[in-house]
Amino acid sequence: MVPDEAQIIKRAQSGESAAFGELYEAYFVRIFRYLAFKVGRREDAEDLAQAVFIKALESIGTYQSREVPFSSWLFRIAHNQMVDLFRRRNRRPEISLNEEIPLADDCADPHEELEIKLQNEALLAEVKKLSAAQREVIALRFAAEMPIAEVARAMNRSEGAIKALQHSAVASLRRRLGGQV
Amino acid sequence: MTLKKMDDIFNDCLELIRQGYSLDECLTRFHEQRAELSKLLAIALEVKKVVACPVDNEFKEELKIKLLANMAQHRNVVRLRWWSGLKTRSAIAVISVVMVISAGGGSVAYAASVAMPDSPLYQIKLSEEQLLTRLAPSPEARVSLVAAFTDRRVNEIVYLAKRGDAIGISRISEYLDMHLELLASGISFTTTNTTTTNTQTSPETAGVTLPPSSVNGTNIGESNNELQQILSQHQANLNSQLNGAIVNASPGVKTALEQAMAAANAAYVQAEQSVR
Repeated sequence: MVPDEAQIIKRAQSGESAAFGELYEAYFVRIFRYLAFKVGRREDAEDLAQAVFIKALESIGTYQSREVPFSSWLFRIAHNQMVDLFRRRNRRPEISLNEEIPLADDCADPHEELEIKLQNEALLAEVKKLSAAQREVIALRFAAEMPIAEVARAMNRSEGAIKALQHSAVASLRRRLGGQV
Repeated sequence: MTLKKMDDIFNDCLELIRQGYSLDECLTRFHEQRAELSKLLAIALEVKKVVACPVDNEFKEELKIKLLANMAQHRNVVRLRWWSGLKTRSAIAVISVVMVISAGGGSVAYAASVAMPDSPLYQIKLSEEQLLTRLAPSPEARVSLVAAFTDRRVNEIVYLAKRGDAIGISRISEYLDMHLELLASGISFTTTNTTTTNTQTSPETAGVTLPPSSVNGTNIGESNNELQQILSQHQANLNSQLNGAIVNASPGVKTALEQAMAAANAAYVQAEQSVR
């Protein structure tokens, strides 16, 4: 949550471009990383991030804070854009929040040292083996840096259930990776 | 220790780390679970690092400029509706033209409206602006539109500055100056003609018959105040954006930006004098 977010949203809704710019700055990186983690390709993640913010700009006038937190609203747009992308490509006609989707392979820093890169690949390979719900928690908590309460809302589960999924996902990775990390 | 409690402790630790606490501080706080927590947190921090896909800052900035330019355009269209007041017939004419443009290629029209100077669609954007300026339902509406287009030119200059294109900046700066001259002449027209129907044309709008400047029901003094406010806002926006762009600019770009700023500020002074 951005400080004074409600005020910034109101200003953006009244057409103040600087206010929308503040929201963009607050959320762009988180949205982009979430999408990169989910779709697996930098170019796709950039195209989708662009579509997300265009959609947000078009629809911000209809956003109502009492219904859902702004971040959940924005990540819902991101999810819908991703579903549309997969539909257009006929790769996956239907995707729910908990369905299996590929993980990011294409956003590693090219200057990374080989050893680190291999370690990252091993970790990502293990993340892919987690359950769909555990992966979604990893996407929202670690890539999108969303608070527990908002993840719970986005996944329609209790906060306790999200904390349990987060713990079990990381514990599972620890068991599988042993001393590699 | 129940499993549920460990879920909470692990999450609390992640939150503390997110707030800037060190791993050691966190482990000290939950010293009873230190052994288990340290292994979990090591993995969690590694996952966090791996999923932090690096952002292309150039892409991020370009997208922001396009979005904000688009928003500024929308905002000024709203302002135009308010300003044009009861001139319904003229307003319908403008809306019709916009609809024809949209129907003839909606996505092209949209893409052109956000096109930057290095885009093949940029000339369409300029032509569309000229058309809209000519068809503005009142001098006040024309002033409002041209003011919106000055914002577009400023955004384009910032965009070109990020790309290090000093020649492009000089070119767009000339367009900006033309807009500001048009703004000054438009304002001069609206503030000196208050009572009779006028067929006078400015050089930039030759061939277009301008309606009387007094907006239905609008006091001219209020109108001048409104114009002054708008000019001040646009000038402040120009200085803020171009000063921001100067910070990381190369020497060539810096010179081009400074020249653009000096010329634009001089033109704003002239426009403000026209209001008084």
